[in-house]
Amino acid sequence: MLSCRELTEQTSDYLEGDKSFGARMMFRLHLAMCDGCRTFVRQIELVRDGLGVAPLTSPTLPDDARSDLIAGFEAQNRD
Amino acid sequence: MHATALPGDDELIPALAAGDGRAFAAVLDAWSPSMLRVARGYVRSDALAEEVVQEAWQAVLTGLKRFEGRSSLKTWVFTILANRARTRAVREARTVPLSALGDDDGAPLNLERFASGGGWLQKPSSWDVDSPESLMLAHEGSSVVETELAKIPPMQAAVVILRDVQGLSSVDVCNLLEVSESNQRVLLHRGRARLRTALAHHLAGDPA
Repeated sequence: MLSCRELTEQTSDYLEGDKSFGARMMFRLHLAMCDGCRTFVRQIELVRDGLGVAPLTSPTLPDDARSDLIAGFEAQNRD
Repeated sequence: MHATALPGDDELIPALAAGDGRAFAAVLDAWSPSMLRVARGYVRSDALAEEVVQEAWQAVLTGLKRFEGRSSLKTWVFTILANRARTRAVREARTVPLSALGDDDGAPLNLERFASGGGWLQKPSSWDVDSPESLMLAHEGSSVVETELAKIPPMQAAVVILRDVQGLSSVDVCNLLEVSESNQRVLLHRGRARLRTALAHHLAGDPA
């Protein structure tokens, strides 16, 4: 039997499909009976998927570094 | 689908080869925040991370004409970045093996609190959030995540960024960061769990 503690530690493995069929079944059985763990897994999933849909906008390169790199690219391609 | 307005490699690579400055600016802007965070997993300051990322982009510029497309452009760029960061860390006399784990602030793998039998002491409250998009936008999850990524152990942040933000495969990330599959999984899970905790506090209206 899987404890809630064990389940939370293995959540990412489960979501990535890194578990054997038997282990996945045990995981699912536990989830079917445990709303705390269902909530936790759902939230880890939301975090994972949220990270994939929202662009990371910080930190940024300083403006001058950015301009220099773009200028370097353009100079390189002018030759 | 990963968060970028970037075209795919089939458009991007020819555009870069043709010297299209806008294409270069687009990848520069799309990937630099992630590159800075990954670099920060290796070097000890934001300023050093900026230097590493600039050097990495310089190496990308130099190597672009020889890029053969055997991996995705993104994997190639982030591999250059990781190599630069690692080299720089060694030069700055940070032991690489430590920073490769770099996630140990003494916290057990499990951030949640459990009773001795392994059951929840306090179950997580459910979120009134119906999609990842609404979590990040309507519920301001983006700004919480960006703040939290700067606070969590940098190597956890690096893995979360490479896997979840940038969508690189587990194999690519292990190769690029030179960590084992099991280390990578632990870092990924701890990073995600910390972000979940931060988001839970935010959604519950806890003071920052």
